Amino acid sequence: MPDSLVVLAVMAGITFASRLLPFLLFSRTRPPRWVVTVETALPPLVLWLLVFYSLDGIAWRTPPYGIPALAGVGIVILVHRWKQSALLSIVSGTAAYMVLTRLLA
Amino acid sequence: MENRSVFQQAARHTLPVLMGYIPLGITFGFVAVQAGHPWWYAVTMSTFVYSGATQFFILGLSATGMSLATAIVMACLLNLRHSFYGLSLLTRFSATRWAKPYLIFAITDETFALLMTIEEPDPCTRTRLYVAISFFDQLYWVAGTLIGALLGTAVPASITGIEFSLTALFVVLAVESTEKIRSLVPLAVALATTVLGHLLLPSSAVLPVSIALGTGMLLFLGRHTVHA
Repeated sequence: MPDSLVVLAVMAGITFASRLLPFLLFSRTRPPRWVVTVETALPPLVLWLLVFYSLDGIAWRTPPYGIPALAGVGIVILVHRWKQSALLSIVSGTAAYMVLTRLLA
Repeated sequence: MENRSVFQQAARHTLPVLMGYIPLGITFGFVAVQAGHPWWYAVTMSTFVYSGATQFFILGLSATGMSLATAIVMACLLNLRHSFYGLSLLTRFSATRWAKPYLIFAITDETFALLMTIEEPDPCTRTRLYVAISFFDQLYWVAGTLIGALLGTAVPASITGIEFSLTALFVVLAVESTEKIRSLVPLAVALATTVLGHLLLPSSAVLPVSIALGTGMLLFLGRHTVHA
């Protein structure tokens, strides 16, 4: 990856552009239906892809067979559906991952 | 209405966001410093990018060695939900004049939720209230980041396993967006394209191809399965 500050500037630009886009495109006309459909269905797709991508480095065939990561993901899902607190879900999932990594090492 | 009372009103409205942004900001700042970035880099990100998912994604970039082109496409798609929010805020922001650029910059999941529910009849005060709410929310996020970054600097050795918080955040956002559309189709499509990709493609190509393939499948399946 290129220099961190360049990355930061590019990402800041993209993020602002995504917020600005609808105001530029649809200040006079209503958005077509397919735009709304795509914009609703894409975020979960992209986020699940990112979840799988971030698990990419795991060695599934050697001990601990990815168990800490799978357990961590499972705990985040369960805790989040239970309490809907992002912080609680992240902390408990990460803690479980860290403990299991040490126990199963 | 006086400025003072606008501030008080904004502080009251944003209290729940304070409870969420300070701890999450602390987590971000801490993880950023543990990942090897200086504290000011984390704070600069929270000031100018101001998007939790994108910021954690940037931390992931240096860890995974994703190519810049893939990263740009991912970031665009990741941020699409902001566009979706913008669509709903078009009319609310229509009379905000001078404040509009900042209000648009500061759209987040939580600020969007607040601005969509608040009723304020007087157009002049409305703009000031919107700005105060957006600004307070960002202040909490930046303050949390600073606290976390300083804590991260104070803890000398990096803690093994803390990087899992990145995956955990993506899972949280994925679960929330999945519950919102009440459909497991995007999850199934993501899983299918990832597995297929790993069987057929070199690992650097899996993500871009999965995105393209997945988007195509969603467009095809979309009208039957997605209840927006």
